[in-house]
Amino acid sequence: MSDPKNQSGETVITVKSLKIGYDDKVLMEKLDFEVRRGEVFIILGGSGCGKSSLLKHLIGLYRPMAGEIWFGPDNLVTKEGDERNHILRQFGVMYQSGALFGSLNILENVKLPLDEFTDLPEDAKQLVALNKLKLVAMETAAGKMPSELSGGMQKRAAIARAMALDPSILFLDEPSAGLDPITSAGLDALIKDLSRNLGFTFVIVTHELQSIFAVADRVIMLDANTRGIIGTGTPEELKQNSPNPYVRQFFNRQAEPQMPNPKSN
Amino acid sequence: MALLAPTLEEPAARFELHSEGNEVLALKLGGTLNALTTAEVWRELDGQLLKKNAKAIDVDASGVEHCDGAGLALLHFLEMGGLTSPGTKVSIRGLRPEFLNLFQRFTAEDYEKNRPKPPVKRSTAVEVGEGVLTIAGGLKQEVTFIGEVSLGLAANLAHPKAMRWREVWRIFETAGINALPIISLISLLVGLIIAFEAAAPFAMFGAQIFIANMLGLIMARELSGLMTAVIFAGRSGSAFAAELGTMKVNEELNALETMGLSPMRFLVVQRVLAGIIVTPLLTVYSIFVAILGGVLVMMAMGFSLDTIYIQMAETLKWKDIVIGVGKGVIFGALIGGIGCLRGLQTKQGPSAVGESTTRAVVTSILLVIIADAVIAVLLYFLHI
Repeated sequence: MSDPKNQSGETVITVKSLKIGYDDKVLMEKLDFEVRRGEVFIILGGSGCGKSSLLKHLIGLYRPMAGEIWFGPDNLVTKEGDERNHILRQFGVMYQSGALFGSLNILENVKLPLDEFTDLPEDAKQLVALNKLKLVAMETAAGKMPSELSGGMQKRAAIARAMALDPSILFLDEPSAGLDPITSAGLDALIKDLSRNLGFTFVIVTHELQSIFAVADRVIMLDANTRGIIGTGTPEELKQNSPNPYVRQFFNRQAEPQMPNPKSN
Repeated sequence: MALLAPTLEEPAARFELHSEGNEVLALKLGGTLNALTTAEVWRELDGQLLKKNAKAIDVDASGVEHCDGAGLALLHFLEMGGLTSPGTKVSIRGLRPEFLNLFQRFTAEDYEKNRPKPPVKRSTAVEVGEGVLTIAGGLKQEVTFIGEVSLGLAANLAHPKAMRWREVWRIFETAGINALPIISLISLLVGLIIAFEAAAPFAMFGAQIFIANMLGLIMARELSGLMTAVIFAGRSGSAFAAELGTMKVNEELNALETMGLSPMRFLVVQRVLAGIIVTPLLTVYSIFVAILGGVLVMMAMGFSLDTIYIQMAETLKWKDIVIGVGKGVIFGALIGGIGCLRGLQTKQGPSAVGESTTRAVVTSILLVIIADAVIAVLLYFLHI
């Protein structure tokens, strides 16, 4: 866990000339961006543009077609075996559906990474897991099964599990998707708290505008047509000053321009 | 000072323990307290602090340079008295503000209130009572299900146009036609095996020719029906449960009901009907192939096809084949029904569909064997 004072602008992830896709299909190319320690970094874009795919490449689930992904001094793309696993253990991931293990209760879900990767005594593991659950206000649900929880609660528990090994970076895939505004706002407040007060670095994939304005320090916007980044900056900067009309349209929540009706002419 | 380093590259945790008189201990913690280093410190302190039996412990954490969740857990456990003898007062000081912020967010009360408790032991009477209620509830569901399926079948057969025949044909194809290769292989091999196994003991009495009589009877009346039922339960009963279970989890059954369509008439009746038609047909096919297997063995022993035919025809009557086919109808209805029932009973959660599938196969095979035993007893007393 990093020192919360340490929101210093130190770069924790550097992406260089990244090209991603599946089989022969290129989704994005020439991606260059940096994520700084302690910031909430948002990857956004329209539905199906490749946001979640980019996230899956960043966390090492998929190999990029070309380019580099640096976590501090290590390039994830070229590392193999133990060195690669060492990098992967530096971050926690919350998947879109929460991906909690249905056969384990919430405490066991959060405790699982500690069981697998540490030599801590059982009391210590329970304390760490309950502490993480308290951070996301889920400690009272420790004994419940995932199926007994609402979508928002499952996502909170999934964040607690992602934090179990105190990673320096947390990746969240669509944390607000499918949640009611109150639960979504609660999750935004949690992300802000964890980032501002506890020094976690967040990389979040989302297209929920309200969440972006609530939590984002910096944003990159992806575009499927140009297969690249069409906007970088704070949400306010992009909303007001982006040279790209699509970016302004997105941030101002404007519909596509209407096609002229030939009959009206 | 103890220096604990898990690996050469990893940072180390330090602790220093000394007495300050009046049964007061001073514990100085330093270095990095993370998930790797804390485990060792925890174990060391667990042994040493209990042995010292101090009245108070003053923990100086000012030397802690880095502290993650595991380090905080150690401090919390120390403060709660988890590593000391009962009644020992533990005070912690000197923690850096950034770690103190995290430390103060979690309290001993949070731990005591939410940590896993041992399961409450219930009396045998309560457990027996609950078991009986569960069985009674299950029976009620099953009786209701049989009633609903019977009504649905009757309604669909009374109005054949209302039946989704395309769905019946699809199930007929997947559960019946696609099962032919496995039925062929297993029946042929079982026929071969029985003939081979019987050959030696029958030879002791010079009665090898009677293998034909035994094979015809055993396959037609008993084994082919059972084998087909077990294969049908494994291949198709499980598929019915998985299909309907997945539909339930995906709320497709709710969608049907809100459209005013009964899942019973829309999904279940077709599968039960397909089971009733397919299983006896597969049974007849299995009888034929199994006898073929036995015949091959007998021909290899030197018996002619005519001899085998005459011998088999002496014992194997039409009624035996009808009994086999009749069993097939009952087994098909049981397996189709149980597969669908278990599918409809699927609960929520990722393992629910798997559980339903397992329950469908186990219950189907169990009921098939019970039904077979009941039929065997009935046939014995009816002299059929």
